[in-house]
Amino acid sequence: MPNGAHEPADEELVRQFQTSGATADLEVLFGRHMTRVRQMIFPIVLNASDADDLAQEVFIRAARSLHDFRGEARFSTWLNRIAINTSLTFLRSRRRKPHFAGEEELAVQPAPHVSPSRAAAHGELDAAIESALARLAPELRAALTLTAIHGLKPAEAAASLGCLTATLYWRVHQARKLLRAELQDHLS
Amino acid sequence: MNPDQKLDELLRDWTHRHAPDDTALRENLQRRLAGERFLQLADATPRPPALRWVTPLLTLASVAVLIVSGYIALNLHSTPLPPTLAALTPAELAARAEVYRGVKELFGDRLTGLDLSANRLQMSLVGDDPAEARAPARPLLVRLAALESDGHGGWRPLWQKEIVTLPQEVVRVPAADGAELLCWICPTADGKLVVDTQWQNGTARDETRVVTPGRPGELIRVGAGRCRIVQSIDWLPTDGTRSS
Repeated sequence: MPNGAHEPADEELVRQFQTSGATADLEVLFGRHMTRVRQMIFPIVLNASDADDLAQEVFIRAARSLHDFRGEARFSTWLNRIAINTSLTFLRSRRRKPHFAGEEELAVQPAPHVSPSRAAAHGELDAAIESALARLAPELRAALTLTAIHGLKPAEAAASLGCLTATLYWRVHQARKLLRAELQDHLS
Repeated sequence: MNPDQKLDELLRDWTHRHAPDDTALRENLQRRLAGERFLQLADATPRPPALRWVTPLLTLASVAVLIVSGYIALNLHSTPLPPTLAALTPAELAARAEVYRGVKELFGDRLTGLDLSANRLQMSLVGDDPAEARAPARPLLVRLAALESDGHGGWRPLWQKEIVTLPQEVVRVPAADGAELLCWICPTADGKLVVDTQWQNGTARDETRVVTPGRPGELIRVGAGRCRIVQSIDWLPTDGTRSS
């Protein structure tokens, strides 16, 4: 039931924070997006603890840069982009591979070690999903996460990833094709 | 339910099963933000006016020098507008690499591209905003040309663009009548390049081609097939040699 109270839009809260510097505005703003951002990072980095840490990192980076936010994109798109960049940078630094790897090379990577205890705790399906996702290039996982899991429209997902809409379609198509092959036993 | 819908449902359910502890996340963030308050105040402290001007003036002076040197360097090795696009020569690649290295020394990872068309130099820079951060990558020289059918089986050139860009950056080329060409290039493991092209002219048309560096070819046909956009793309040498 509507309570009649005015819920300020994200961009309004940003403006208030830019004017006042009050962290109360920041806490309201970030509170709205905290779970969503963490759930966006998790399928990309595939580790709950890393996802929690990176989510914190994303909001700290956002807080430090919020005075430069000019509203050229929606706040959520801007935040998504920080989350995606932070996640991909984290994975790149962990991988310590040359920067010239292409999507086809990254699209099929060695399966990560999925421990028996983890598989038992989350079941065979979860282990299969995590293993299949880990074989995708991080860029493909990010595209799939934004569209298939979070339901972003292609244009917004592309803006969040900083790529063309055509690129987004291509990445999602590739990701789905590889996942369908990996998870065929669970999709029939 | 089609396989994609079922796959998406599997993924959504899996994500929900791994939902975080909201309370812990919020409390941790509040603690971190409380520790950041002094940083925000420090960031908000205005710099003295003199300092605000020195950096842009130095940058402008440096860019002016680069524009002149870039103009000279490019003039030495510019090819005329081709009826069909020629492969980029080692001398052309070396000249562009030299200009790119000079600008890169000034702007570091903020530099995402250079437009070297018509013997001038325009830079594409990103800010310090973490939403815009880019990983270091090796640049590509991209030459694009639009060819229009002469109605007798031949093709005449309309325009040509020459751009240095990084892999996976969007290349935007304004065309006539408000149309725009967008390209996105991604290297593959077998040494080829996936080129996504989008022609926007009221509506958008997409085409994806896999191309070999240094081998010119068509990217997309637009205007009911009367106009071809062709490419010649190659890696810029990093050590003075052609490596594709």
